Amino acid sequence: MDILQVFKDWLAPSKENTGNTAKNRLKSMLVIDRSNVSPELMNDIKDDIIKVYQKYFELNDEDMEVKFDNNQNTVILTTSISVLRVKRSIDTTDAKDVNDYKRNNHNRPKR
Amino acid sequence: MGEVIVVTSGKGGVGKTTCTASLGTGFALMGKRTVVVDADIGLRNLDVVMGLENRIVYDLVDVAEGHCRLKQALVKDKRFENLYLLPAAQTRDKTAITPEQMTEIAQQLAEEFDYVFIDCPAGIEGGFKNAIAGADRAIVVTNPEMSSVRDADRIIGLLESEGKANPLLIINRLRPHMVNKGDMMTVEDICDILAIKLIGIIPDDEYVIVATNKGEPPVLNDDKLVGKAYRNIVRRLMGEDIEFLNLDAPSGLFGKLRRALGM
Repeated sequence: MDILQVFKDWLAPSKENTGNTAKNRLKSMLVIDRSNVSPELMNDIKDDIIKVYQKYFELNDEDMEVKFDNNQNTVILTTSISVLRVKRSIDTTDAKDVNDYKRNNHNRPKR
Repeated sequence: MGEVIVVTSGKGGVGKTTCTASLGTGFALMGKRTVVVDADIGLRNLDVVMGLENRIVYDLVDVAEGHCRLKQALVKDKRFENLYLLPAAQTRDKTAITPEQMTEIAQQLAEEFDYVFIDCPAGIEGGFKNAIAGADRAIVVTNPEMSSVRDADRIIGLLESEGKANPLLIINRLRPHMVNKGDMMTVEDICDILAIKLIGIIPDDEYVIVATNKGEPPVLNDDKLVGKAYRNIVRRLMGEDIEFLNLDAPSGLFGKLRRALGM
């Protein structure tokens, strides 16, 4: 080991605690592993959630994330979606539910 | 009837074989009649770690196919009174044996020996199913890093679905100074995630490679912390209540200097 590095570490230990990062990443990973949710089903869930949001907002397609998290033994479904703008008028006449909306928006890019 | 214990991990390279060799040798040292079985057909290595690679005549597949009697395939470790190895075949693959054959062989061994340790291959396919088929108990080996813990979690789930509940956990290759720096998951973190009973913590030590070079399982070295850690696991498995070793790296400037200088 480089002796200089040892002194550097001693004088200014790194603030980042990657052990904790690993633990937290593992915990949320295992929520999905243990639930036996297939990646396909997970994708369907994501798609449906996004469709609901799209009804009301214009979204940034590049910047959205839907994932399971684990917070002290509670499973949390987190969605992080960046909103470009709120739609002014929501067309509810022919999009009464998500299924209608799906049919009307089949051109939306697939994820 | 003896007890059949399978050593498994899911991920490869976490130290299953070294563990199997050390636990088997450790039990023999305690005066128990012990056999270690290599279930990693096609990629056998337990013979190498035990230093018995030149003495193999017959193997597990020969026994399963009836080419020899079980006793003929057992290699006696001449260094110890009570220790035997049942080697895997090297030129065959996992399909050369069935879970039923494996269960049958494990049962026969359990009649002869106090402890039967089975070294399970990596993975979750046929080889894994064969190795666990005849086991009464399972030990899951993991390293304190993400992929290994994740695979261990999967293996624990599979063991449970195969009716092998309550496996025991060995955390291998712990680096105390990384844990102290916050750069490695702690023993508590891993136990919290996997939620099975901890039976041993083994420090990372270059000596394990030296021991393998010599064909002497690390449990044999009294002077090394790894050796001590393995012997403690043996005693815990025998029902003794032994405290976990304090693996804390020396802290402070002098500790760091000493470590840097390899002292």
